[in-house]
Amino acid sequence: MHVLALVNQKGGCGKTTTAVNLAAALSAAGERVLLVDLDPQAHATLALGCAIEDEPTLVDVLRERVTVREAVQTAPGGVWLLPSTAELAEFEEESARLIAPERALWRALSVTRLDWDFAVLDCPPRVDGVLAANALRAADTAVLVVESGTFALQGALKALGVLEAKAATMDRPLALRAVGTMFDRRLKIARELLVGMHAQFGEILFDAVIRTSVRLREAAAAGVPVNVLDPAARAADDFRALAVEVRAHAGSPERERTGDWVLPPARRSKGATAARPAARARAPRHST
Amino acid sequence: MDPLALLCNLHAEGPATLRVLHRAGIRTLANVLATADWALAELLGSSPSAARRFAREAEHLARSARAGRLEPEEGADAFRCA
Repeated sequence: MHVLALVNQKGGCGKTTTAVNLAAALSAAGERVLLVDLDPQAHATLALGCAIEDEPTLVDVLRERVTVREAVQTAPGGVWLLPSTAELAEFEEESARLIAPERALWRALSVTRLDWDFAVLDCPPRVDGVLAANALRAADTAVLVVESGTFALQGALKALGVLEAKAATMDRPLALRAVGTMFDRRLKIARELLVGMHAQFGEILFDAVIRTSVRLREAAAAGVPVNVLDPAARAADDFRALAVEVRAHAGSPERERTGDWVLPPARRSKGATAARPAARARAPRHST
Repeated sequence: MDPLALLCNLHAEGPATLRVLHRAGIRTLANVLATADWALAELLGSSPSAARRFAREAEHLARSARAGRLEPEEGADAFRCA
């Protein structure tokens, strides 16, 4: 399993939108994808139309009360979701009483590494809390999400510096990549910013840039990824292109969609509003 | 980010244009500059003038890359008006 953490200390830069739709695009490409909602605002959970009542969530996993397998739900777009609620914020306070709280997610995911090909972590809008520390500790790649707006480049460079400093202190390699979001090529400021990002980030910047699209807002409102709402939308094309690059980055092999395979604990979320695609049409890569 | 991807994001339909160019064997800004306007127009499904503009932007990006810096987008049109 390759773990991607989508990070930026800035809110509203498209982290959740990118996490949800990248996860769905990877799934559409034949990968088994787990989306982990690490934000107490639970926007990724909401964006996939999942209503949490008394089901176990990520905070229960971090508290080691349940396993990842027991807490995941199936969600629109062929994605498995480890959902979140506002209760997740309490973990920040509890962490002061725990030993190595920043390793809780890594420990939980390490026993399920063969169940998924990718885990996409949607991080909260801060990089200094214990939740972000959990994400970075569990991640193989940190993807900095950079919106194409005013001051975004300065903020992104600062965030990249923080990530590089964290990566240097870790006992395992953490690759750093960046992706541009909310790009509107009609705007001069957006074009200039993209040119600036290209100059500053160079090869770590993915070729695919996520353009602004009303379909992304509509998809979030409908509780489905954009490739489910409108596969022909340009936003869906952007995420397909990003998924191709992410798979290449992770060294993911080309796979054929043959056979039926469903993760054993998959549970349909109560609030999901869209039909799940046909059964996962691919044999498991690993046998246990 | 590859310079050709940057060009496609800035002045065309992003990944869709990049795929078309790659399929035609165009993988660098130099390849774009070496392609005839009419052929580029056919590939992009655009008018010859739009294809010429695309090639002109490719030239600007290539020149900026050679100079070790990337200029902002303004300039070309303003220069022509002056």
